[in-house]
Amino acid sequence: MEIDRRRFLLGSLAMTLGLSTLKRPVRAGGRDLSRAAFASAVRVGSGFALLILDEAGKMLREIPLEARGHDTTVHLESGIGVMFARRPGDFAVAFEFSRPSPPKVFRTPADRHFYGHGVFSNNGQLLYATENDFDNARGLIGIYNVKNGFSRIGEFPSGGVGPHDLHLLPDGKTLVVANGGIETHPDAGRAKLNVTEMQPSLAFINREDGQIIARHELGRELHKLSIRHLDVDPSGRVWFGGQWEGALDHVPDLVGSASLDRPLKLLEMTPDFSARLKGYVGSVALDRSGARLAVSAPRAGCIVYFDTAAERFVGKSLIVDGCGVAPRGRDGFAVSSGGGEFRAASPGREDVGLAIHQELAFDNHMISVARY
Amino acid sequence: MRTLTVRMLALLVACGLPIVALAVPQGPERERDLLQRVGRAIDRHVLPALTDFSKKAHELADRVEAFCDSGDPAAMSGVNDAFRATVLAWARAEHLRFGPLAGGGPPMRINFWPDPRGVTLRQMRRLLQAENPELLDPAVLAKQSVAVQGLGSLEVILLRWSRKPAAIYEEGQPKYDCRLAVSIARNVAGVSDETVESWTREGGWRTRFLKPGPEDPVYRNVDEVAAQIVKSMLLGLAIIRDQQVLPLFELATGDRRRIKLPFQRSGLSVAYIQESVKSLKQLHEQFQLTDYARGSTAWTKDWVGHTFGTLERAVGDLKLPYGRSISKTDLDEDALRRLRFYTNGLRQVYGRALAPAAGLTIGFNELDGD
Repeated sequence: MEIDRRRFLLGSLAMTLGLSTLKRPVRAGGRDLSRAAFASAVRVGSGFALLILDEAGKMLREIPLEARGHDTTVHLESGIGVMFARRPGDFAVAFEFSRPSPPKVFRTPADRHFYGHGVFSNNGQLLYATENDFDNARGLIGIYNVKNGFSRIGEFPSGGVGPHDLHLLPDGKTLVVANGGIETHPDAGRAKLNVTEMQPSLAFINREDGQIIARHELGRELHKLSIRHLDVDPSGRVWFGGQWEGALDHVPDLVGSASLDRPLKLLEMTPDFSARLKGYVGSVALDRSGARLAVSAPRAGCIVYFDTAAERFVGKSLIVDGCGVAPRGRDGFAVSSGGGEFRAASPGREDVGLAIHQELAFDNHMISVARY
Repeated sequence: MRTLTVRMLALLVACGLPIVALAVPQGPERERDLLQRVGRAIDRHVLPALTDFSKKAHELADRVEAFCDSGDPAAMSGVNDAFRATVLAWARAEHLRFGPLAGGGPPMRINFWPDPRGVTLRQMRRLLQAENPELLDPAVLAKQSVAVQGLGSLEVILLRWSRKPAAIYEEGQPKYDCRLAVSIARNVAGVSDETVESWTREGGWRTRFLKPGPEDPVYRNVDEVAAQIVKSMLLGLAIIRDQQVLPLFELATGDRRRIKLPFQRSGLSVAYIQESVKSLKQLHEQFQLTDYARGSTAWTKDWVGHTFGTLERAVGDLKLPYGRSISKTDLDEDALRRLRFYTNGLRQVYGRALAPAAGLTIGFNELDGD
């Protein structure tokens, strides 16, 4: 990852002159996209891209992005995926993950931006995305019509400020939204504007009419625990990972679960467990059965695993800057890192390094395109 | 040769070793060296900056109080001077958001910024109209919205006085404005005291930085404290780039129509940016991570110091209007493009070349996750 002078100056010059890395052609390289298994945003040099990988972490397709991407959602039956810009980006890129067709870029309206996450309706006709009505500090769910070129057809409140991850419950009707509680504004870059007054929540919303069915909050003493990333097990239980915005000397438990009719419950860990995770969870993912939960802590350089039935810690993998986690195989996970590593991992077993992409850094999230 | 290097790197990564391990001294010698650098950064940069800010904040509070008690409008210039000194002292300390300033709350209590929706002005107008006497107690004020607690809210009052001196006294007695200003200034001084105390008390943050260990959940080893100093540098450069340079650049290019800079209404924005740059340069001089530059990064040894100097001069060349909004015609697009280039470049070199050269991992996800 060293920078030589020539590369640095050329890269900076390209940035300075506003040359876009988007001009590079989509690359499939004759590779068999039917083997597509994972998708992740990456940084490549001073540019950004979306990668499609096979089961062993081999690159199948690279789609350049105009800026840093965040999470991807896929609709398996139609073979379509969408990667969202990272906050405060306003673009999303729709692509076919098993065919090298040209990607389609679509955007939020000028007074909104994406928060980096979205989800398809079960029939694949609608796409829901977390968005920011930044002049009014209001979290929204934007609705996009897939068949109509991802035109934006509506929006409804997310039930809080700073919505981040969202998922669809197994009933196909209820969206669960992690309202992280953090106010941001594109004019202020990525600065967090209301840390002392945050009110994170987990909102359950009827996607058909936008009505909030339930909204769970943590107590006042935990108001600085931003609920950010989610996964949902087959029973509809929602698992979440949080990020602590308070002092690192007093970090609460960071991982928990809830459901429509059950309030937020944090997994009780030893007193300094969360401080050792540096108060920060980057991604969460359940394995295919929902029996194991993987939680990445990139600031601590590890992935920690929980048994969801017993609600207890069952192991960890050490990986520098590891953040992306996705289910892989019957009961394991794929893990990716900022150092370009791609590993197979699962609690109780040694990690297996499958690929190293020296030239790139995997970004926060990786998803399995075979899971949905 | 290249293939061999790639293979070796792959092997090292597969073994779980840092890629850059080949480039730096190993073992205890490296740890001792890094710890010395951290010690210099703490004792010659962090603590002096925070102590100076605290001193200036107390002087400001004393000046405001004396001004209000005196009933003498001529003493206003002394208040303005003390305000300027405190603001610039904060510019030199704003990037030190770790230890007691981690977590967003305390820095926002000192200065609620950025404030893109103008919350401070809105809330201060309400506050000054309501004249709630309870807020004249700094301890009560400290429990209010951070937008009314810090230097930005004091700026609102000082500007109001310059336009409307009648808001200061009534029949020789300080009005609510004046007493609230004292409360705000005392609150800022109080936060600065807490910060310095957290650093310097027995077993406090200074000790934790100089004696990291596995029993400390926040800083478990030398690498983590050294990486924290680098992150502070990267944060400082990101603040300058995103909150100061980029708005100006985008105004110059027509991508934004209006911008807000820190302490713009007081005419202190350029000085604020200049002091921020000087402070980061001083941090670099104490930490000197360029000593670790080898081989393909050797060119950064002189480049970093030189670029900080260029950046400082380029900021000094900015001419921003006072008393009105900044417009596109006030700005030199090319000069701002260069400013963006220097801040970006310094950030890239520090984070992606020098830190790895010193064997420090500043992870892509770790540094700026979401």
